Amino acid sequence: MNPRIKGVAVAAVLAVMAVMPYVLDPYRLDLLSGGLAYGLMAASLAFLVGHGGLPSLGHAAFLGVGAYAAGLTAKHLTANALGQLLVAIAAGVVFALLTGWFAVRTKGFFFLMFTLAIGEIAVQAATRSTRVTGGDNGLSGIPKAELFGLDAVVPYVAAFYWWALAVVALGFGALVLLRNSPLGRAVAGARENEARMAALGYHVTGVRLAAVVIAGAVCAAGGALVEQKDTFVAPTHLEIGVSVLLLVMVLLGGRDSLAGPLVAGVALIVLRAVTSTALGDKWLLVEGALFVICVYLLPGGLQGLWRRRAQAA
Amino acid sequence: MLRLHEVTMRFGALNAVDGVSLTVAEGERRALIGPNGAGKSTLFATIAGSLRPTAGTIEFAGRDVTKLPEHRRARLGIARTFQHSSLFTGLTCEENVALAVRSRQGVGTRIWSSPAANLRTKQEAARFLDLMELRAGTLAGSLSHGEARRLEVAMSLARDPRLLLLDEPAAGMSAAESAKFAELIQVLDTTLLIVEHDLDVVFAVASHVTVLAAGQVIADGAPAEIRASEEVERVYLGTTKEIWC
Repeated sequence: MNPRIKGVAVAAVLAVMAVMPYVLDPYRLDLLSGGLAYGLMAASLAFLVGHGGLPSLGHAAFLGVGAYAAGLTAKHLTANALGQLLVAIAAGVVFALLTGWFAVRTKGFFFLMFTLAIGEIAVQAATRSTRVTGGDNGLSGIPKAELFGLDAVVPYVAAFYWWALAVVALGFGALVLLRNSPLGRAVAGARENEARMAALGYHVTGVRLAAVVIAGAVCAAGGALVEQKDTFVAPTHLEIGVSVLLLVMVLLGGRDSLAGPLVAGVALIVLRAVTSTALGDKWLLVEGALFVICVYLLPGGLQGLWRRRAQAA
Repeated sequence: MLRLHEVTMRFGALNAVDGVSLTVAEGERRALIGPNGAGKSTLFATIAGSLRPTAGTIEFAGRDVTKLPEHRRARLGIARTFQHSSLFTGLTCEENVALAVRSRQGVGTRIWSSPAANLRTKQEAARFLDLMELRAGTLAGSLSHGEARRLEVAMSLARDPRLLLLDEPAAGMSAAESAKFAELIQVLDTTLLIVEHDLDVVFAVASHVTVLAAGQVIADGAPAEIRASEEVERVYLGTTKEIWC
């Protein structure tokens, strides 16, 4: 697509998203804020899985790290939303370095198993360290994040939506820029051919670690939004089911793309809210069916569908 | 430029490379020939750094590099092609070469690059693509065999190496392709170490020839001497004639 058309399209989408507080009722607006957070996390996972070729089954651990870091900061340090976000991102980076340092030394199936184990350890850590995290009951009593006085002018839910939209837009923009940067291209090179990358002078494990750190930091930002929205976080936020949900978003959106998983993330959260009100637990059936459909019918995801239409036209 | 001292590579009971000492001078084009299983590719891997020799030392540009990992040796100026084309098949030819160009420019892992820098990378890449007669936009995975071999060389050259290791670059090429390939190689002024079965290419390109058999150096000299040597004839050229001609 022509860069100018692309710029106009992005601006138009942002403009439409920005007026949502005047269109949607508070419940739907709140839902959309959550959808955006999950969309950002799905895009970060797509960067890791699709762009980096590193299939992770423990990405929800980064959600948890970001959410707990933001929640604990809110309780003990500052009510400032940006301060909480920055702490969450820093925590995501540290967690990515600690776990990634080992993880990037494994490949394919073993990477998958390793990240699965890290996800489980994160759940256990959140459950067991009761004094810090509140254990099974979750971290409660978190004060609402202060949104730079914006909530004095508009209702809190609208102010929060704009905050979430800004964070997601910036986080997503950062992901896209990083994907197109020399580092991002090196990440793609490491996915395509490790031996050749080494022969060209690249430190392959270092490049992979950078990919994990980028994905982890962005996901932790999404996690901070999830906590700030609900002023609550529990070990259930980190469970394998959440990691799988993020993977379904990536598959549904198309793993070669970042925008596809972002859209799929928003769509799936909205769909889950609608179907779980109507169907209760049977929502999982819908999720499973979607998963099957996208594996069989949409191997390239929404992005693939878009490309096919573009090619046909 | 390159000095190997008693380099040995053992796999279990097999001495794939057995005490090879070898010196390649700056600007030299050294060919390494020998029958299958002579240890040529293994020796290459120890020089490039993807294998660490069991014993012996490797010096490059006056520096002991025996324990350096492959990417560090690449940064010192050793580039290699692979015996079986090893490309980024999902990326375009241009991007394949651009990865090499950015690595040489030392910007391979920057998180930002200006449009001007991107343009410079593109132009640099184009220079090597033109040299090897490749088109920028073609997916590396869809290249013909000969084109893939040339992309291998283009990527290695784009690192502007001081020493270029070519592992059977003409393998699988037609006679016309390999003749053309030899021409392309002859204009390079890099120090060259080439493993090749196609003796037409070897004698067209090389200034020195080393013959390897069963992991050991059995002869060393100018192409004309090697061609005249009886022992070489017996262990290598003789069998080659039967097999290849």
